Amino acid sequence: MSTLHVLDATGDTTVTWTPSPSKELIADVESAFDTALAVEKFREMKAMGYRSHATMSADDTGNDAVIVHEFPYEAEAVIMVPQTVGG
Amino acid sequence: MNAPRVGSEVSDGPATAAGPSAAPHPLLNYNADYIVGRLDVSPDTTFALGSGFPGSHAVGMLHFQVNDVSYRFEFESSARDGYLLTYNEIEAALRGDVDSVQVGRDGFHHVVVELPRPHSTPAQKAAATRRFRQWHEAEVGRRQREEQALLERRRLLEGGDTKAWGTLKAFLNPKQLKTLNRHGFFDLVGSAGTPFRIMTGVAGNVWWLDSDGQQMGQLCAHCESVQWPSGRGRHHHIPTADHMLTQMLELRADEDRWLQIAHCIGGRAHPAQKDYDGLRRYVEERW
Repeated sequence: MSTLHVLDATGDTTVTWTPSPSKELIADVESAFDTALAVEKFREMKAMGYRSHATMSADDTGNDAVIVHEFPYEAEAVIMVPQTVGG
Repeated sequence: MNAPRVGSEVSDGPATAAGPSAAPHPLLNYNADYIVGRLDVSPDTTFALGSGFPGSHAVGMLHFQVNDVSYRFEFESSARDGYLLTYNEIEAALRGDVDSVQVGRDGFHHVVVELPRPHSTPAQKAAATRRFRQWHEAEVGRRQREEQALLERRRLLEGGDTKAWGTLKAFLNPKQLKTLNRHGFFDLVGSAGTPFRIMTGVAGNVWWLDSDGQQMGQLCAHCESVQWPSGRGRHHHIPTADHMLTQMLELRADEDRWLQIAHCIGGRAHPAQKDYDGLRRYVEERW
């Protein structure tokens, strides 16, 4: 299962979904349903100005997060973070 | 002192507006130790005097402003028990002779009125006491609900901190995890190749490093949502670990963008930071 993390006051709000190579290949109803929830949350947070980072695979360096603008159906994890401001 | 009749002075204000169907008077402020601020009232609005709450007094104040003249009416009550008065009852008392009128330093006309206790018979007193107790119980319940909500929010935030540390650690590699647990920081390499060190903290907790791992400059950029310890700040609380995770992700994804946003608050600014020389000149000229 893949996880969408939205960083907020609760630590992070999570939504899990079944990863799939693409939107078109989602076949079974259950995975389509939880994917729809994740997509909805993703778009909601994007509309609020959050930035989204997706990890496609785990490695020891950890330097594998990339910024995504559309929901990454095949990602292992998505972390949505608030905008950064200078301190 | 030959005191004026207050009712005639405020006849263009609340006194004439006070009918059963009159709209709430917008110029009236009610100020007591447990309610501070503006409060729209209607003729049926009830005020509690001598509420019996710790720290409260058997004194109420009403502020009126009529034709650019401000009046502050202070009610003094000798009642030991709290009782309620409606706005109409208060206004009726104000129409009588007042004890004194003074213009204070704050520009208010201070009109001091001794309010008569409105209960002359035991039955009236019992009814008033019952009415006050009902109000008091409702008020105590409201305060308890507010305190409970505050406690729940505090628990949520404390739980959020714990959860955020778990999320951060899930995205660190073993070496980063080790230094975080032992020393409270972890290192990473930004997208353009610069090594960075993220200390435990929210603001000013990122250092850029040279090739030998020496800390060169202290940088400050964090999530937009910050709750400062003093309570000032924007929006809502984001746990510390979430700030650190965001800093790590943003540096990995787009180091240059993060450096343009960040301020250098110690040591040397990163060469990629915008107008570093200009900022340095500005600081040197001013200080």
